[in-house]
Amino acid sequence: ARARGAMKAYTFRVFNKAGVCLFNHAWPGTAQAASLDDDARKMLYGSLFSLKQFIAKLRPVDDPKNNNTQYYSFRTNNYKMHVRETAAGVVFLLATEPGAGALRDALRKFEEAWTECFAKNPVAPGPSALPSESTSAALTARVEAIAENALREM
Amino acid sequence: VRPRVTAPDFPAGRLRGSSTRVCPRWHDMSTAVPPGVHSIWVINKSGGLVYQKSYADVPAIDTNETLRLASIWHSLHAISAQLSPVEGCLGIELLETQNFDLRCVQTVTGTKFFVTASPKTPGLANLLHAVYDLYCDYVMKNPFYELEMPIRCELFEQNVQYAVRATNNAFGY
Repeated sequence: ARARGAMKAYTFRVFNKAGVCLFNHAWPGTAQAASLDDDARKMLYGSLFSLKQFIAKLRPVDDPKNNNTQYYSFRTNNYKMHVRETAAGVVFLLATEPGAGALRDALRKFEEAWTECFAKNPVAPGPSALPSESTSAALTARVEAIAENALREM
Repeated sequence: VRPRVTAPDFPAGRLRGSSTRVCPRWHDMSTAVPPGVHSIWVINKSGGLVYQKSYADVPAIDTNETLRLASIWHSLHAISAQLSPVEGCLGIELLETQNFDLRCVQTVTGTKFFVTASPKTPGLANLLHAVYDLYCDYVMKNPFYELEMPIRCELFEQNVQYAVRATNNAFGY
């Protein structure tokens, strides 16, 4: 049973700098499939890329210390997308119900989980390669835990 | 002999105690975001920009650039509906970033009104609906206005200015 006031998460994705989707997870109840076909992937990554440039152009202040679009989110009438980008160009995307608040902490935890499971893994092949089965499973478990925690109290 | 580097030649008038600042943004090192409403944009149903005006001290954007940005927003708005993980999405309503918020409203005819403002500014949706009402009254009902063309209706611009000021005042900006 869902706790009263808990928000649902829909999908979680990780992209690398080249637009390759390194990790996919969809929660039950999502109409969209977890894995993206090539066109959908290009559309998603391309639109994020455009959105990042759009934000950079509309920025009201020039803050050189803090110019990376570290975290931003956009909300439509039926979903909210949270985006976190690291300095290395890895993008973490989380789609939730529109009522969710700012999930900066959750995305930061996702990044930490990713770093631990994947980047710090001595047998991981490299930044562009896809994670192995066991890494994916470990990451999935952690992602679900983080999301549940973050969205429980919304 | 290498010539000594001297200060650039300022026009004599400026050195004589003139009050105009020489380099407008040099000593404006503040990185504070101007509070309240920043700018309002209106985009027609094909994605062309028909109105864009800034109401705060934000960096000016070149006209061609504003046209490009409007058309980019038009596509992003449409694509966000296609990227939805669930059915029935109508496009981006709110974009929250580190330094500004963007609130967007699309009418049933496909015209988009969006406003940029400092983060967490309240009353933006109401402001956009007020601008839509003004658009209906002073633009749509203006017999000399050409549809889908840039808006050059003085009453519209004046009243939007009042609406922005009212929004800022209502929340103490």
